[in-house]
Amino acid sequence: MTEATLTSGQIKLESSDGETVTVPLNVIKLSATIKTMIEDLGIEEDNDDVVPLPNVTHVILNKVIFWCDHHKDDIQPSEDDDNKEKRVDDIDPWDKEFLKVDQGTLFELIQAANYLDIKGLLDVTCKTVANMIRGKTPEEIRKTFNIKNDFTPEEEEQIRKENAWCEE
Amino acid sequence: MLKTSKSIERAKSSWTPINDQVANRQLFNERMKLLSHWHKAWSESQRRDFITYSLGLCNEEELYYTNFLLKQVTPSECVDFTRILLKSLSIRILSYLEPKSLCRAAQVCWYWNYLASDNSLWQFKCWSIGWQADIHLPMSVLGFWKHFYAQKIHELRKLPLVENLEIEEPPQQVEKIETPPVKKKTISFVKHSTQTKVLAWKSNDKNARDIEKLSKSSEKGKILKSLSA
Repeated sequence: MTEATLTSGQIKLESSDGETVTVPLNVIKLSATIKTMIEDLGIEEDNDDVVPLPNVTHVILNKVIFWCDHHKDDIQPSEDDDNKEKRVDDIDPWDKEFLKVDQGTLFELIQAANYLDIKGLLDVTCKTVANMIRGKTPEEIRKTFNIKNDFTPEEEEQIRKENAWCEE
Repeated sequence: MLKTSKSIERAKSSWTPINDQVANRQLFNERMKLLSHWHKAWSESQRRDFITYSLGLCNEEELYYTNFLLKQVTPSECVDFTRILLKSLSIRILSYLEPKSLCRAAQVCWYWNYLASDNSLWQFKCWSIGWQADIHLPMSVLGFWKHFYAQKIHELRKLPLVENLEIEEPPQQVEKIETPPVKKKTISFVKHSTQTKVLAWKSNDKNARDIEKLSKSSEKGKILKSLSA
């Protein structure tokens, strides 16, 4: 498949729950997984071939496509960015609004972004979860994510002491 | 007598018999039925519009009630993501946290402690500051890089402030030993030619709180500040 088709054609994706969605290639090209699939399977424009996505439900797929559509003209983040110091205060306001979803959806988006290899979406979703942890006490974190404290009181005290250096 | 008063109420609102409890209930049920009939006929987007519109009509108390209902229907609201996501993804999320938040995350439960002590997280933090561990050290041991980071921070805190050099304790008071080429099995870290016996991650270390001042200038202050940046 040529670069020209990647910018003009469309492709059909099938979600895990059997729904087929037609997406412009210039939108879904943000997914490195699908880009590779198209290139490897040699799917042509206007072909009836459907790319199966067994790990993504149609609800999440639609959200992912919506995100990709908004970001299709962005400059793509490079691999080198992973080695830079990570910033968390740079979430785009549109993304912030987009990610005002329940935790279940947010985590499904992370899984989908990982499976579809959409770096920008994976970054912003992971940052959002990190921001839900930042600044909270251990107890507040437990409440936020419904986590059971499985330390004994002695263990808890021991772990607290081990981490006390960061609180000074 | 009762009948006349009812008809007066009806006259004010021809659709809702205010006083007649039974009739009121019946009418309400009929309207609900009608609504559910419409609801079935609506498209998905129309249903969403309806939900949005209805919520807009609710007062605060009703919204809390809605929230309560939703939590019962979708208990997914509070989920421990570390139980759902691949370990690598959980680590990726934690990689956006600064040391202070990571240390707090470590105190949540055992599995979080394990994740938040992951070497890749702390190794990256050490390397980005330029802290390299001696090649002979057991770098793959779980929690090695976290301990190493803590040790470095501890050493930084011990460094005398430039402005207060004269009131700083003389360095020989800290018990020092020569760097042994290969040490016992315990984890230890090489600091140039000498190293302190006190390990910073041992929180019962009394010396850790000795110097709490942060340097206003220099890299030291910057790094210490970055702990919770």
